[in-house]
Amino acid sequence: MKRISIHLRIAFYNIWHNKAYATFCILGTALTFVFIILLLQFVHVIISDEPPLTYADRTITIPSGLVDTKGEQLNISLMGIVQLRSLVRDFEAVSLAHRESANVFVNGQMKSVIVNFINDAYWEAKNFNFVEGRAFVKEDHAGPEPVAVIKESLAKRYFGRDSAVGKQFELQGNTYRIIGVVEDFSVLTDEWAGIWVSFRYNKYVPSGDPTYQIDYLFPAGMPQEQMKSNVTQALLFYFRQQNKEADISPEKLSTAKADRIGNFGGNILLYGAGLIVSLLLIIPAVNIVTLSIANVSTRAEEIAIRRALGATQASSFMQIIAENLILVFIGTILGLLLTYPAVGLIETQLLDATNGEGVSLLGRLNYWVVLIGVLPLSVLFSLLSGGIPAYLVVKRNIADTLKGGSK
Amino acid sequence: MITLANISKIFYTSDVQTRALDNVNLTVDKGEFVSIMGPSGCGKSTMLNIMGLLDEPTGGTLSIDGVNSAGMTDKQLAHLRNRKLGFIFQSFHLIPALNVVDNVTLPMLYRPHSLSGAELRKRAEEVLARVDLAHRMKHFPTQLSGGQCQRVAIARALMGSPEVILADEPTGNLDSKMGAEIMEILKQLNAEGTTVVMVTHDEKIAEQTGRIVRMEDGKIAL
Repeated sequence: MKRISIHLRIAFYNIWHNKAYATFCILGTALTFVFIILLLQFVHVIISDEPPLTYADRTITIPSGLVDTKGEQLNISLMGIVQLRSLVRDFEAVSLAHRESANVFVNGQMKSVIVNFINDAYWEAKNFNFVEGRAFVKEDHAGPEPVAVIKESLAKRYFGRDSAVGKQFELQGNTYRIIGVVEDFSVLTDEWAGIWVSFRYNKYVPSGDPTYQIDYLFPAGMPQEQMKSNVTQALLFYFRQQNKEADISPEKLSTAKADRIGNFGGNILLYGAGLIVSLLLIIPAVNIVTLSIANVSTRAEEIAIRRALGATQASSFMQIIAENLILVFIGTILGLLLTYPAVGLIETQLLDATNGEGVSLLGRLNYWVVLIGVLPLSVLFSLLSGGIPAYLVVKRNIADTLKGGSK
Repeated sequence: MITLANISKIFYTSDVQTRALDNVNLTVDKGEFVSIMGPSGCGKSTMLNIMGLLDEPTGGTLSIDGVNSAGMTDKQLAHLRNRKLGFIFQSFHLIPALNVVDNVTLPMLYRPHSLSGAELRKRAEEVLARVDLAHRMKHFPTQLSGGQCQRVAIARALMGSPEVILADEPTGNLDSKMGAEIMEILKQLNAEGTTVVMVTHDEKIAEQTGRIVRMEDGKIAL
């Protein structure tokens, strides 16, 4: 304990007496880790099964660009979806979704929001976390009053601390009552909406496009080949009834999860992310190394004294690294704290402007990713940025270093 | 106790080779008080550094208690410096970030499990009392005079009860009164059985030691 206490005291003393270096080191680390945290969180969202994509690896999406063997576009109408539903075997739920970037009137103001027009089974096929209220069910679809579910961040933006449930907004000429609020999620889940309402009220405004995304959720444990085969058979049969030969096979289908990962480049995503993380670590580390080498010359005498008194090179190395670890740790924590403002800035300046309100870049931080991914990288960053100068100092000749000593 | 056999030390720079020690042979026996004298640049500090395992000779062998230091690992060298040797430097070499008591206990941090925290503090108080600095335990080096700093350095050297104290011009930065006080402490330590090897410029100081070794141009003058 005594040794650790003295290590820390000296480390803090040196940090205090090298404020410019410490500030540069902390800010450099913080900035580096804002990017690293974001990147790791993004990769995690894309490859994981977090809500609302818990069932994505057993969900088959009907491709939007279906063509026949002659290459002509094939469409499935709303009636066709009902027919197709009876043709697919052994599925658990089929969800429909149609996205519109619509104008919503709330609290007397017009907002541009992405609205998802969906069926009730949508809530079974996805796995949203409800922070308040509930999803709508069949009875709500059939009922006289239009109801809606809204995203947490939009609810807070529109209604502040008040409960959003029971509040109303206007969309496409209908007044909707909010019955549920879902936890924020990242746009990288490929789910963009901020508001969900029943497809029954869809007027296809402003797009004028009546197509729906159709997702089939299959039971857990069913082989993916079986899922793809079931959908393929149903599609072939459906279009043959219309004397069309769909150019479709199980190989051309994929799960929603594989689709999502594929959209982000598949393996390139993983290798690319690894490469970017490496660069994000190495470039600032090299900068800090350059400064550290100048900085540790002030530490060289202290290290030489310690070695003269019995410290080994290894323990002296640890003494210098301790200082670097403290700075990098503070920088990493600052990076963590800056992540939300950075995300907010990107959301308001880029995503809101182009997509309407309520598009979240990052739903919430996954603290396991921080613990398992970011903290080890933080230690690695310390070793990279502090290790080289520390090594150079402990390798110095003790007698030579002590020659120019002072009080 | 300490034997130097044919020790040489050459410093290399880009275009010059400087032979600081040239086949030096010297034996320091247990309990001796040896002073090393000579003009500036004659190699006395270099020899002391080699005896203290702070520097490596270019040639020859150094033995401490019959054990050859050549080929020792960093850990073994550090162990020897910590257990057998105590250093006193002309410019004190205290750590400014630490107060007096923490500077003094520093060598013991590299002897894990040797003393408890309370024992460590008691021992520090003892050695500081010995150099008459028990009342300055919480002071930092910058708050002390040169003589007091040197006494802290002596207390630090004594902390681990070393068999040998190597002092490189311990009175060099002090006035004559302070220098005399430091010499008294060293003589007392030697009287209690500690071997002392001291580098000095001062003939009067050297005369107070048991043996004077004179050096010239990297060699021991006969």
